[in-house]
Amino acid sequence: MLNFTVRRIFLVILVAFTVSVIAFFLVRMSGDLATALAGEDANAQEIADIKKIYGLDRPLIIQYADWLFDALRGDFGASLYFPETVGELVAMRLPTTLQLAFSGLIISLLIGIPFGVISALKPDSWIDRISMSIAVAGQAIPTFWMGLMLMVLFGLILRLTPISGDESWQHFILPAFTLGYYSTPPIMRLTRSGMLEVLAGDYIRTAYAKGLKPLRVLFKHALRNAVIPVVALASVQFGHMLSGAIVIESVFAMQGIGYLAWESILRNDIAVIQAILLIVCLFYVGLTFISDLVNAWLDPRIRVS
Amino acid sequence: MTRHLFRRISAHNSILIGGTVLGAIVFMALFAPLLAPHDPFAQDLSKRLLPPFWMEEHNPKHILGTDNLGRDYLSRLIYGAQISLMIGVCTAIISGIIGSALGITAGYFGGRVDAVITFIITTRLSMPIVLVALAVVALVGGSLHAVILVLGFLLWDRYAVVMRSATQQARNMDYVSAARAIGCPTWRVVLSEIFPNVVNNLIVIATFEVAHAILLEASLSFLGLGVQPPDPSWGLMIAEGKEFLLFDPWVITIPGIALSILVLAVNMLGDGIRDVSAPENRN
Repeated sequence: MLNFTVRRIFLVILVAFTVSVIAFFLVRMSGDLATALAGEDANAQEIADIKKIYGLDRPLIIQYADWLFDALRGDFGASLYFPETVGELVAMRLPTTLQLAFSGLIISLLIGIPFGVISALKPDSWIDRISMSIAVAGQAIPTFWMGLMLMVLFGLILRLTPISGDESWQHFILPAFTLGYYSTPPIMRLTRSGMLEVLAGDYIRTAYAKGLKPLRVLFKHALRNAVIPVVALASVQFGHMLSGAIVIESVFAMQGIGYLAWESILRNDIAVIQAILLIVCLFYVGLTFISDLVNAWLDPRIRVS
Repeated sequence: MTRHLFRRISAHNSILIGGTVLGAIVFMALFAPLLAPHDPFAQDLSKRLLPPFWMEEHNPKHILGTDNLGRDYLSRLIYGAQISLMIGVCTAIISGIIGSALGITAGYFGGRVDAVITFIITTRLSMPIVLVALAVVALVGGSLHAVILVLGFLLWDRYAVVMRSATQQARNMDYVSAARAIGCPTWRVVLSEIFPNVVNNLIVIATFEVAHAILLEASLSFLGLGVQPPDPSWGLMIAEGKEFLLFDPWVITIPGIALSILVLAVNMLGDGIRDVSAPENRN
């Protein structure tokens, strides 16, 4: 396990480094930073001056190294539109996104696991059908559209929830549900198949044969084993939610990093885009690492391959 | 046995239903010029936001009403199917070629080649699709082609992962060893021994990636960085209807339902094909 972990950490660092290179060059190619800084109607001399002041006339590799070392110290440069530094800006907006993604994850686990368990216990029953339909619909309905429809139904017609913004926990209900619903199908399917596999195991039959109460067998013996891969999947889903937050935050006008990313992409605010891209990618790398460790701890075969 | 039979029938049903609905949408897209009652781009500001047929005061000439520029909604919906299908199919082909090439190469050669390709896959999986796609589309400018290329170069991961493990299994088969033993060149072993035995995975993943690409295009267009106006992308129609959602919610309801039905049909077809071709992967 230690050997596996060390090898994985090495891989994680390598991936993180590659991702930082992509984040830097991808965004850098997207626009001329000097022109963006100087403004639309700057002349060639002004642009050249700006290039000199900001060090944009140096080779890209050196600029990248500069950016990376600054970023590692938490300094992501200055935004073109906000008075705060990019570091402060992201630090200010990140909690909203994390809160949203976390609530979304909780919701998808709360729907996914119970439905997955029940449909594994009673395959082809009506509840299995219902959970199957939830799964199928969840994968077909576009999240942004579902968000808008919930907004119309609960915000405008029934007036139960706020329509947009992020001031109170009520504002998180619709976006978190929308985000969570999209991640529910994979969690439900994995719970169901995991439970089916575990329930067929000999030790479950033994537990029943010993005369243990069925509920105790279910929770203590079966679910505990079936749920571990779900935890691993949940950590990957959490990463997807950070990325999915771009769409949801834009729909509900929530001031998280997703909305910030979208605004910044629209106005070519390069430093902000680079910072968010890097941070979300690093979250992904970290979460995948956690998920790999959980899976490897669970299944020794993964460790040696 | 009966349960197995039931599953089998339901797999065929899902192919039947998914296939029929998808077929109808493909038909609609192919014959859009004949089926659409109006020009999808023709504006008529005197007929803005006419309601659809189930509401009062609807205009019988515009069954699904008109949008905020007075364009016939049904016609735009019909032409919109072309965009969604084009994006879905083209993206699935591009990403399918990239992903299968990487996956088969990694699976067949193993060793260092495999390590490098696995690293590429891991790196790709650490990049959030929506964020990267938005940034790149902003870079090259939003258009149908841009969206297809960007999504095509991003959505190959599942092909690569599945084809890699399928190839690893096929590689150890006796017929592959036999082909190698009689001196078949590598490209021929790959093309005529390996590929036919892993290709069935490809069809199933391709259907899911078609659905995935359609949904992503809708999201990108909704955010203003996908297909550009005045093209009638369904995602864009929802974005354009967003400000009228208070009084005319049907403006976003209609394209959203169309999108969901299309994606549902593609997914059902994919589920059905998977269940029929490889029942052991069902769960």
